[in-house]
Amino acid sequence: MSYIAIDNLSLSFGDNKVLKDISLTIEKGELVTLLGPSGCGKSTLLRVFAGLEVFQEGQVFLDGEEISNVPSKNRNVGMVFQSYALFPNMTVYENIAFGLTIKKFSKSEIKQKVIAALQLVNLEDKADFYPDQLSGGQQQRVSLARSLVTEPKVLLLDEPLSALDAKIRKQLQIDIRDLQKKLGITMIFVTHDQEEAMILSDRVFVMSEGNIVQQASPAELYAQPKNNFVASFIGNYNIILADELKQLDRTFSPKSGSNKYAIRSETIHLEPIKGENVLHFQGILKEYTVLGSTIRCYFNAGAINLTVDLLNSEINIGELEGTSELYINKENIIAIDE
Amino acid sequence: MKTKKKNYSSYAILTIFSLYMIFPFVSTTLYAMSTDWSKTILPTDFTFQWFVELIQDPNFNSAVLRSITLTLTTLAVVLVVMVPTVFLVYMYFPKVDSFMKGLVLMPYAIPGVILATGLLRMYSGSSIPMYAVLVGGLFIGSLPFMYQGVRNSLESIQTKSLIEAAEILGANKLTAFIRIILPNIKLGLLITTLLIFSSFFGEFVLTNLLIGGRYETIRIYMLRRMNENGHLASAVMVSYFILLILISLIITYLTSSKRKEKMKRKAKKVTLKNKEDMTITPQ
Ligand SMILES: Nc1ncnc2c1ncn2[C@@H]1O[C@H](COP(=O)(O)OP(=O)(O)OP(=O)(O)O)[C@@H](O)[C@H]1O
Ligand SMILES: [Mg+2]
Repeated sequence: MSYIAIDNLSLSFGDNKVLKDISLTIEKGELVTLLGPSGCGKSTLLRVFAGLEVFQEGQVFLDGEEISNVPSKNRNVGMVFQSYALFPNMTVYENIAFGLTIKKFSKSEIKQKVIAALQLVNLEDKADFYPDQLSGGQQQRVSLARSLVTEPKVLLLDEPLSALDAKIRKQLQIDIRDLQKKLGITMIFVTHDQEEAMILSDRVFVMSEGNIVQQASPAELYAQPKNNFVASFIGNYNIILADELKQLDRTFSPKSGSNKYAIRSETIHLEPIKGENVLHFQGILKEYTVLGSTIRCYFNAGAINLTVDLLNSEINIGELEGTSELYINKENIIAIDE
Repeated sequence: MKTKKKNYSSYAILTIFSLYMIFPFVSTTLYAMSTDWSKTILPTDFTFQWFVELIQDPNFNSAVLRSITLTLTTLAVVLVVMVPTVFLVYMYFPKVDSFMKGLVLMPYAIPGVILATGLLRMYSGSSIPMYAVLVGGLFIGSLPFMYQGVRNSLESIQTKSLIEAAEILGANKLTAFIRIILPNIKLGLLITTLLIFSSFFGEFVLTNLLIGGRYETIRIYMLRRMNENGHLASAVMVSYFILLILISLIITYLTSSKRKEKMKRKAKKVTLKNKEDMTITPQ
């Protein structure tokens, strides 16, 4: 049996069904992310693990036990909130020690554990500070230390980094992943940022309107999005119908039964690709944006609009006029669900 | 330059405001310290006689004592009942909360006289002592401040996430409330408490109608003495005002946060560290 499991869980707020028959499993030591747009039910699902939401149907298991009816305080999970939720009346030291004092550890044990936790998040020198004397990034590290110090069975993080600026967010992403690997702790991380999910996770659960639409490793998810929703959420995919692909190149033959296809924007090329298995057609450049190392180009191929990412170093965009030849390897045309 | 100009005008406004507030108090004080002040700009003499008379009057002292007792009793009841109630309603009964928000405004709609008459009719023959009825009546009167005051405090510290965080760390609701919520809403509570304190302390209508004859509070005493002598009345007024300020200061002092002490202690530690090689005399 898996370390964490949810079986056929449904949850409604009044008439609003927020989680729809969700089942999933998570292994010990995994870091999984719940990824999806705002309002899809990520936080609600995370709070189910913490015992903070009442659900109508289904079961939750943790470490071989059913915990559906176990109150939060007895679950031995940790949680990091987007708003940090540090206790403003307590110093950093007291915040981290709180869980241990509740669990009645001896004073010397508490001291030893808190200091170790402070070292873990590099805040030894801030022990006597109050939360409002720290930066957002520091506060979130305190929150992390506070949750880790009680050695929870699973650490739940609800968009812990989304209130921080890009640079600190990047650094903390790396820190969290390192910590997770070092301690071998199981983590469930909620985010609406696909890049964050890709960087951090062993596995990603993509959610939409209360369903898990796909669960896969970041690489799988990128290479093989299951449907339109995932494809458009994960990366820059062109979603094209079978008929439209036939118009582009008559040699295209639909894969069994699929009507919709996803093509990643960087798999469309200007220089010829060798081999049989290539789609070849013409397009007219309408517009482009320089993003840095890549240039995002918008082509018209007949009635079809295509987004194409080209490497800045490989083309001279100013010389690109009139009709261009475009090539796609057929392997990169991915059949997706409706 | 520009900012300086702005500063001047804001100082001017502040000064005018302070004068407006202080002037009546100063002139009342002057009047209370004189025997004759009719045809001159300032009083012609200066005396403490009215204050001395007041302090020597046993009725004044017992009136002050009664007012303080009544106010503190009621305040204790209000705090003990309302703080946990508002907390529970806010956290766990959001529907009741929106209902309560409207309900607690009701005391505004009922004039004190009507409330007093109603209470008298209801309880005058009953075995419930009028003192308790008065405490109950004042309690109702404090609800608008109390409910909204506590609620705002709870809202401003993100009570929900704090409680959730504490519960996940293994604390039960009571521990979380006592160790985390109470210390953080202390300041808000203090302000609400002071507001209610001064309104209880100066309450007249209910007290006078319900138990006024047998239980002379400071306000009732004031009214009685005011008709005797204007200077004495001013002295009563000034004493009343100073008493209010004193009590407010005491409450503020008693509830002022430990944090300052802690910060001081920390600062001391740091300075001690810096002066390690100097001899330190223990306190
Ligand atoms: N306490 C509640 N009462 C009623 N409805 C709620 C409650 N909490 C959440 N919802 C509803 O449940 C749905 C899912 O909310 P949830 O917070 O799980 O979304 P989310 O995926 O975390 O979104 P975000 O990225 O914006 O945080 C939303 O439609 C929300 O309105
Ligand atoms: Mg959320």
